Amino acid sequence: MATGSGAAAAAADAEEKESGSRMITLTSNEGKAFVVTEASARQSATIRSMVDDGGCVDKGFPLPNVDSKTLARVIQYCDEHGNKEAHTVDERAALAKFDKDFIAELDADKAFLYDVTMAANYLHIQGLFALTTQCIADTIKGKTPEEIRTAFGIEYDLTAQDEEEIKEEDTHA
Amino acid sequence: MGCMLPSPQRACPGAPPPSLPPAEDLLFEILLRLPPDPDCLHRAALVCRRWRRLIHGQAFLPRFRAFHRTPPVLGFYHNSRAVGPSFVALAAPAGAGPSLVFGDGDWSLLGCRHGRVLLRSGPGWLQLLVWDPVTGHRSCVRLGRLAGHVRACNAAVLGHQDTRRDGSFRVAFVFTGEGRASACLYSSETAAWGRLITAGTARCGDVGTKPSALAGDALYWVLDDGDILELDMGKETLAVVEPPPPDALTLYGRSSIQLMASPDGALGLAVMDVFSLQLWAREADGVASTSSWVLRKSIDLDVFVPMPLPCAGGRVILVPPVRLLGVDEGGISAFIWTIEGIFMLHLEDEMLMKKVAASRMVDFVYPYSSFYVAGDGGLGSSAGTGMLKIVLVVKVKMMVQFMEVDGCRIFGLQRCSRIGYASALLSPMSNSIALY
Repeated sequence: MATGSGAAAAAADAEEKESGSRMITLTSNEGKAFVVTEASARQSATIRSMVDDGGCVDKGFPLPNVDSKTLARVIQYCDEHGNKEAHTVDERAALAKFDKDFIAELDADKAFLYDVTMAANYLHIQGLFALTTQCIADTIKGKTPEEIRTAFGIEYDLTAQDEEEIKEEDTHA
Repeated sequence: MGCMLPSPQRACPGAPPPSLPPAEDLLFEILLRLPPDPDCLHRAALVCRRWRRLIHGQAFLPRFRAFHRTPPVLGFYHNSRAVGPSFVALAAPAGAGPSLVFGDGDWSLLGCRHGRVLLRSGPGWLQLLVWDPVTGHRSCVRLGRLAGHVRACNAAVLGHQDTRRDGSFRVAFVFTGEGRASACLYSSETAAWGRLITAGTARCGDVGTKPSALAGDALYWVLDDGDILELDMGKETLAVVEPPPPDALTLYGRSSIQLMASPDGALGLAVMDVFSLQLWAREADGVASTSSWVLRKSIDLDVFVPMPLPCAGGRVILVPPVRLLGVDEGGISAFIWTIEGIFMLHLEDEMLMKKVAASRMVDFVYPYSSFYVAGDGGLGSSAGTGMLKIVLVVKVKMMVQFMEVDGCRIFGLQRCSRIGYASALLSPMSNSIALY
C-alpha cells in the first residue's frame, strides 16, 4: 500500500509507519488475500519479527499453513486486539467481553476451534493461543477418562502393562 | 510447529467428534491449562498412552506448577486462646472438601507455607507437627532439650522446592538467648536434623513470635530489637541483615512489622501506619552486594477512618486503628483487622477488599494457600488420586519410622526439659535435636 511517489506520499508513508498504521497483506493457502493494519498483524509474533527484520511488507505474507476460513477468524481476533486501546477499565472490559463471545462461538465447532488453535500456535498469537487452549482444557476438566476419549475421538490404547501400573497406583490408596 | 492438517470431520449431528490435532506441543499446552487439581490430572493420565506419557513425563509437573504459580489463599488460621487453632475459610466449600480445621487444641500455630501448617506442642517446645490439611497427614518432628540460655524460639515449614518431590518438607528451627542465635534444618527426606548453624554476629536480640518470610533461598524473622535474622538454607548460614530503616522503626514501632515475600522475590515488609499500609522491599544495590530498604507502596485505608460524630459533648471516642494481621506467603494479599471486621486486601490492586470475618480479637493470622482444594471441592472426591496417594504412602512410612526410632523418648524429654547449653546435634538416625 501507499507506494506513491512524491514528498507528500513519502511523508504520509513515514507517518503511517510511525503510527503503525501501514497495511499488510496476508495470503491464505487458498491464495485469498486479506489486508490488515500493521497493528493487527503485529499481534502475531511470527509476522511481527518478519516486519521488524525489514521483511517484504509490500509483497505481503503468504501463510501456506492457514486456510481462508481460519485466517478470517484469526484476523477478527487480531483486529479487535491490535486496533483497539486497552488502557481504561471500560476498554479492557470490552475486550474481555469480545474474547468471551469469540471463544463461545468457536467452542460450538470443535474442528474449527482446533484449526484456529493451530493457526494461533503457528502465527504465535499469544492471547488467542491462551484463549483457545484454555477453552479445550476446560472441556477436559470434570470429565471421566471415557468421556474425554469420546469428546476428543481418542482410541483406548493403554496396554496391559499400563493397566497394571494404574492398578498399582490405585492400591496405594 | 508443522503444517495445518485439514480437519477430518466437521461438526454435524451424529458424526464422530473431531480429533485433536496431533501436534505434541499443542497437547502439552492444553494439559498445562487443566485446573491445579490432582484428580483432574489423574483422570487425564488415564485417557490414552500419549496423554499418560506427557503427564508422567519429567517436563510436565514443573511446567504445570510454574504455569499455575500461586496457589489460592483458602483462608487463615489463628491461635484463638479459647479453643486452640482455628481456621477461617474465605469461601464456604461447595461440596465435601477436606476439613481444614485442626481438631486438637493442645497445639499452637507457627505458620503455613507450601500447603503445610506448622504447629508446636504446648506449653514449651517439645515437638513440632507438620500437618497437610489437604491430605490430612501429620508428621511429628521432635525437638531436643533446649539449653537454659534459650529465651525465644520460632520455626518455619517449607516444601522441598529443589527436588520437587511431593510430600517431602523441611523445617527450620531458630532459637535465641543471651545475644546468641542458632538454627537447625530438618529434612523429611533424611528424617533427621542437620548441623547446628550459629550466627557469627556479636550480639543479637531474641526472635519474635511472628511467622517467617521466605525470599529466595532464605528465611527471615524479626528480632525483638528490630533487626532481621536471615537463615540462608543453601549456604547454611545465619546472620543479622540490614534492619528496616530507622525512621520506619521509630514511626511504626518494632512490633508492628510483618516480613513478607515481595511478588518479585525480594524480601519485603508490611507495616501499618495508622490508616495506611506501607510496603517496603529490600533491594540490592547493584554491584556493591549491599541492600537497602525502599518504600514501594503505600495503600490508603482511609475508608476505615470513622466519621466524626456530630455530638459535641466534648467526649472523645477512641476508635481502634486498623491493624495488620498477616500477609500470605506469596505476598499477594494482606489480612487487616478493623472495627468492621477482618478484611482481605489485595496488595497489587490495592483496593480489592473482601470482608472475611466478623471482628475478632486476634493478634495475627496465618494465611493458608494450597493448590489441592478446588473451589468445587474437587479434592473431597479425590481421596485417592495418583499424586495424593503417593504422598500419603511416603508420609505413612516416615511416620512409622519415627515411632520405631523415637517413640519412647518423648516422655524422657518432658521430664528434663531444662538443661545445659546449646552446642551439638545428635546422630543422623534420630529426628530430634539434642542441645546441651
